[in-house]
Amino acid sequence: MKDGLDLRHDVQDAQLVDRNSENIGRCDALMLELRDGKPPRVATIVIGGAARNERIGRWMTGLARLFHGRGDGSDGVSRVPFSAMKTVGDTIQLDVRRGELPSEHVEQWLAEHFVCRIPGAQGKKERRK
Amino acid sequence: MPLPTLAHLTAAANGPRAHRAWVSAVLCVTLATMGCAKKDYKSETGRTRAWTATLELARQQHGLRATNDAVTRQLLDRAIEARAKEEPLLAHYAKSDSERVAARGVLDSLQQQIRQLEQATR
Amino acid sequence: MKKWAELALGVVTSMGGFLEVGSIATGVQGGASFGFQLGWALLLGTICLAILMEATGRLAAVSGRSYADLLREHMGIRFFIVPLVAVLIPSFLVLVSEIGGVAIALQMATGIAFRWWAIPIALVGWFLLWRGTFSIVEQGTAMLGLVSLVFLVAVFKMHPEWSAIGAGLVPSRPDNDKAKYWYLAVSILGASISPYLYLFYSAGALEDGWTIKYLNVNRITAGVGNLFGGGLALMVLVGSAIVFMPRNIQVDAYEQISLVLATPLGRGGFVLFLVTLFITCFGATVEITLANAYLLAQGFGWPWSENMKPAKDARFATTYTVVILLACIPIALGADPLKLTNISMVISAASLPVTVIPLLVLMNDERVMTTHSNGWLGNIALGSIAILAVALFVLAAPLYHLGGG
Repeated sequence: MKDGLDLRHDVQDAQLVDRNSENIGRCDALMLELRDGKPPRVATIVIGGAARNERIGRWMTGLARLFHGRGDGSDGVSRVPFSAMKTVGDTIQLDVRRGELPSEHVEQWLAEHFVCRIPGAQGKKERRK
Repeated sequence: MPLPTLAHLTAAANGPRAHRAWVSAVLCVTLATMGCAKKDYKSETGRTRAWTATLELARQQHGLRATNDAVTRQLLDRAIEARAKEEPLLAHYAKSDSERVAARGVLDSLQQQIRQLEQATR
Repeated sequence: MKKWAELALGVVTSMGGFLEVGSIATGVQGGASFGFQLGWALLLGTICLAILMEATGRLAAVSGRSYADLLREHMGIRFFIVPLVAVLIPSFLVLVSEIGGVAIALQMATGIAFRWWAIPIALVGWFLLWRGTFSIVEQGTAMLGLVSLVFLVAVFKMHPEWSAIGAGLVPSRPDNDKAKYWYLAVSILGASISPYLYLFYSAGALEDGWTIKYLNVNRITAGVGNLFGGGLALMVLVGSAIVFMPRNIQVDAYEQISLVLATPLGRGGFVLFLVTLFITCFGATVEITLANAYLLAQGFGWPWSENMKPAKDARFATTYTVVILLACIPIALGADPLKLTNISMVISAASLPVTVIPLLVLMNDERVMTTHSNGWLGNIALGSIAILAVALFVLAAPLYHLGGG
């Protein structure tokens, strides 16, 4: 086991899971907190939204704006405090619930308004080996 | 084996946009040339003769009840389409008198096969 | 005992699922124009695919992550978009071609124009994904795909010169029509080595819960399964060579392909051709749709699994729904399925570098692969494929222009 966390390799773009080990997206950006007189520290894990779109490129930001129609850019972004990190491994587990995250709104919206309106969405023989 | 990690490989691409602009340009050129394929007298006479041979085989198999009516009719339709397409193409590509005569002959053979198959499927 | 059963199933699945519209169309066109001479392209393509699938399968079994997952994580979102788009576009085109193949099969069976079948096919495919589990989707269609063995039967019945077929497995230069020869070689390679295949395989390894214990299963499934499948595809090429080449028949329409089986096997062969085309293309339709959904879901970190009910992975389910419904539109509008197939095979071939080169790097990353990273042999193999991929990228468009259409 190595000591210390390689932010670029182990955190950025890593798969994030919530308290119940369900996928909640990937770490799209890390925000540093700048403090007067003290060294900056990693404060927030950012999931989705404008941060991710900007990293992809300007065209993605434009495309997203088309879909969301809003200009404030704060929609669909989850900012999770770094302290919420519980475990780090193949995936990073955060001490949050999926339902609390703004970046999961699309998933919930689709589940409510589209997927669950179609018969058969709730039943499938889940075969896990 | 000391190979660079993906981070090294993608460091350049994660940076300036010029890299991706170049890739997009190549893709555009690739896609643009996709529409056109080389045609000439030889290829089009070959294509016409191929349809003639197809119809001969189709008529044979139809007689043996090996193929169903739907497919035989569809083959016939495609051959008729091909003939309509090849006639002006061959007129365009045939440069000498002998080529024009040969083209005529090839088209006539196809027409003959079309008629024979039409009769067989009546 | 269970491992043997899984192994057998894996091999059979690979074999039954190998043929699809691309390998059928390119094999038939290759055989009609150049007899057995292009057999080497099929052999080369099959070997490359086996190596790539073994690699992505090993990747998944050792790391517990799919190739798409690792691509995103190790490349960063910005560069991930490149392979994402480079896979989505060609595989979407191939998907449209597969739906075209199913539609043409139904047109040939019923006489009803293929355009009318596009939407029903997409709906049935969607329903299978919506309600089915991964094993049903993957194994069900592949088992039914074993009907493609009819090509083997047809070839045997025609008593070919097996030594001549063997000679064709060695690369040779064509006597004439060089541009067409190399164009067909590229399209055969593109049909055999489609990125969605090894991406799907690695996601499938996770769906089936593969671990390090499955490394040998992986090797044999990827190796033997594909070799058998490639052998079947070779029978398509050989069958076409025997029936079409002596008659100078070129293949410009799918209906002509029915003659390859009708001639030696009569009505039975004809019917089985229609069934083969239907099943193999339908299986590929569902598989490519899933592969694209996996790529997006894993790349962006959404919950995903074909074994989960759609309510629990809404974005994943919505993605495959949208993909399959969009893909039927060109066919519903009457696009020529064979032309589409030919173009998509060449574009697929050209898109290979962006998925092969990162794979080569990942297979050497000890943080990912631990003790199972590539040895020198694996690297020579993958490295050679990478070089081939770059060559295909450069040559695909010019060859299509010079020799295709």
